[in-house]
Amino acid sequence: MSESQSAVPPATLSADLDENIARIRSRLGNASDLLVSEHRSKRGVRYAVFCIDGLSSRLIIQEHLLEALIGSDADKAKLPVQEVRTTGLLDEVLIGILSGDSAVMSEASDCAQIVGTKFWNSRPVEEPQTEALIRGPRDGFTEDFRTNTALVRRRLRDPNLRFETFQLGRRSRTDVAVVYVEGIVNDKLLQEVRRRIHTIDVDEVAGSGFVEQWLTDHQLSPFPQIMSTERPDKLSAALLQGKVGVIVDNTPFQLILPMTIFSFFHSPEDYYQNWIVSTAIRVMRFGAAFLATFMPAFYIALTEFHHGMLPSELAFSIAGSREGVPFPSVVEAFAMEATLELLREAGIRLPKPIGQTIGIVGGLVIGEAAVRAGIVSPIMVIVVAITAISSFSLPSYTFAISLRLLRFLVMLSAALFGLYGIVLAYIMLNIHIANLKSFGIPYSTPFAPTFLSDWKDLILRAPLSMMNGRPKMMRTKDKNRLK
Amino acid sequence: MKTFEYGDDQIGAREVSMTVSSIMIGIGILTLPGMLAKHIQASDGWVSIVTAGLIASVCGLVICSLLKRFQGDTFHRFTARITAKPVAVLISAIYGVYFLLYVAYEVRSIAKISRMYLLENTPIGFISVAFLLVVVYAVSGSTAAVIRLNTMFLPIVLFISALVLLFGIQLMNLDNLKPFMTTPPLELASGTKDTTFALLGFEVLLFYGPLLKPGVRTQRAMLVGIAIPVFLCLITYLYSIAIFTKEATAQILFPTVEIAKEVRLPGQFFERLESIFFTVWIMTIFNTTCMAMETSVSCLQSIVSKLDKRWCILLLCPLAYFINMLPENMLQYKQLGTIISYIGYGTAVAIPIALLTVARFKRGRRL
Repeated sequence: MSESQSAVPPATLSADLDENIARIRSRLGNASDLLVSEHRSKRGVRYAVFCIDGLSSRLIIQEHLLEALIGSDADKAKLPVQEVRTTGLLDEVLIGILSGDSAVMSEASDCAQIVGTKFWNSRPVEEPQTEALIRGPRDGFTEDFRTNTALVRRRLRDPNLRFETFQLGRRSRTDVAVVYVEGIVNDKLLQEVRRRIHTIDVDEVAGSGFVEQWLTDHQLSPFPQIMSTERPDKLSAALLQGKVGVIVDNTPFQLILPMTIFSFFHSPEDYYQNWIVSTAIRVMRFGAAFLATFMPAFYIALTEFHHGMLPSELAFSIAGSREGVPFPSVVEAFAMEATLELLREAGIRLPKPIGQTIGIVGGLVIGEAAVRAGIVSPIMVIVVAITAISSFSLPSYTFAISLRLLRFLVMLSAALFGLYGIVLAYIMLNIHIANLKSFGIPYSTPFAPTFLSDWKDLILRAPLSMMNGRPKMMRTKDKNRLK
Repeated sequence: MKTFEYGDDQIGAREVSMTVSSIMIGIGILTLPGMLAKHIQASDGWVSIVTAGLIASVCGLVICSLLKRFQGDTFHRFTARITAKPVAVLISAIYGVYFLLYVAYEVRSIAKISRMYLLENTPIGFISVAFLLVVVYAVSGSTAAVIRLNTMFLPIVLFISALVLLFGIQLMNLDNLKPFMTTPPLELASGTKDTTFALLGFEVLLFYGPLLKPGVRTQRAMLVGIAIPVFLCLITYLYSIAIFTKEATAQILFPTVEIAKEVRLPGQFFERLESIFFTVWIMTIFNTTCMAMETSVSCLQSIVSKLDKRWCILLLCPLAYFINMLPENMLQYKQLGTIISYIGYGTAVAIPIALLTVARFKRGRRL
């Protein structure tokens, strides 16, 4: 990192081993988890080994490092480990120790050897929680940076796959990697990503959500302009489309950018299945997004303003079911939708076994009881249920949640102006989307600005043999997918 | 945060066509069949529509050749180059006022039709303010976004029109179209005059000159853009004559919406399709209004170059609202329409032709 303490030169190690030990101890505030062990080799050279308990593999240290040091009869012990680097800077030694490596120092030397001994308890690779699929790989990213890069590497054995790794956050020193495939990605895009990511100069980089918010073009928009995913197959597929990934330590959510609105309707499963099925499912998702945003608003508009629009039998049955409900449908809809959001939030917070009860309590008991008590009409319960189901059927959680938020705005405009209000809200949404950009790429690409050849993978998912080019909108260097 | 240039702020042939179509499809098509049926016998109006289409195409081509001659230049600058600076200011002012009136007229029409088909009890003022605010929101974004909106809404509008027309086939009584060619030519000519008003608006392209990608075949795109609304006019006209007969069409204020009212969708989910039809139609009227507003703003900006875009909008928006509220009854509303159409002949036909002639003449003298 560019930590320019311009006036003071960086502190170096001294040639005195005892002084070094004391300095490191004091810099870490005599930490209780700092393990310092001193050894003497056959030749009588004194060594000190530093590591943090719980971050390093004791096995490697004991079996390889210490045995080699004690058994060595040369002036300088040869260490039988893979990852070794030498440094004379105190700070670098400290960072090495703090990130789980071990530092080896010897008497009468102002250099330390940093040995890679990182090992800590981490969650194994498990199925992604938020993006489960029926057909497709079941491995998901974990909190461990190295595991995550390996998951991507395993999918793309291309030597051109690049991980540009650096540390962000002055205090947290979180590992962050910009991932791309050299030769596919557009250079200008890559430069822009690098430029923006290096403007992050903060204490702590807490997960990818932090990086995401720092990188987005429009902070005032409810829409996610960067995709976060738990699925390595999604990330690697995106890399081959000319996109850039950002892998952040300590989180299973990794970033893909730039993103356009249509990508949030796509799921990796679309590519693992027959194209006809996938296309049908995609069409359904667009319908679901529409329902999730507009359905309660339509209910309000039809019951409050345009009674004549429905067939008379349906209009009568709705009016009949609303008989005895003391509130106008606006109040009814707002109350029910707010309850739904509450239930959803409560369901997430509660421990898993209780979480399911909340679903039953909320869905059945409250719904049924509210209808019985005459507070809401049965039709309203149906409307709320359909909205909820629709919003959960979208593959991207972040996108679905912004649609749920917008739903209340659309409901408000429907309450004011009926259908006219809904269409004005729809127009406003479109204006907002037309003005959005993700890393300079308009959010509504490839629909407007139009890239006809990219429509093969938009709503339609063309047969794989027909998708012979990479997305034109990404301006990739290598344009062909099939040879 | 500065972003890198992606280069999509320029428009190609497809966007030109869509822009031209979007601004032309507006209120005009809704009222056109009624206006034609007033003095044209049976289905002879098609002659007027086709003629008007041809006239519009010629004017469109004139605009294209102006754009080609002064590629990448703004309208104000090239009028100043062709004529003189004061004249350019005058011409920009004419366009600015014209498009502002246009905005007011469209907003008023929206409010009027909304009250007829959607919101019976809401005051016109509220409906207009809501619409104008949305327009302001769009205009305060980038010009490229306004053009992107055309690409987003036009397909929806064309789709719903096609749907209505498709299911309207069963309602048609082709005998109503007969007898053919019984209208005197003079009446046909006045029908052409009515139709040209419905087709006005393509001159907006004059103001998108700097956005055009170099090397785009503007002429062809312009012709395609004009052909779509002309075709739509023609079909809706023939439909309303065939469905309602000539006499009834003449009495209906918005025959195109009435067609949608008659149409029954299979499944009968929506009893009154015209509400849905008009709701979707609001999108294209929004596009029209939005581009008109934007052009008006850019005219004001080119006259008073120091004024910020936001201030221009802030200045013009209440003005548009004020003009929109001026007509007190149907007659005055129609008068406003007539005034605009007469200025429209100037802005779409006379001024571009005059500019092109002067440009040719000047260039000839210089050579």
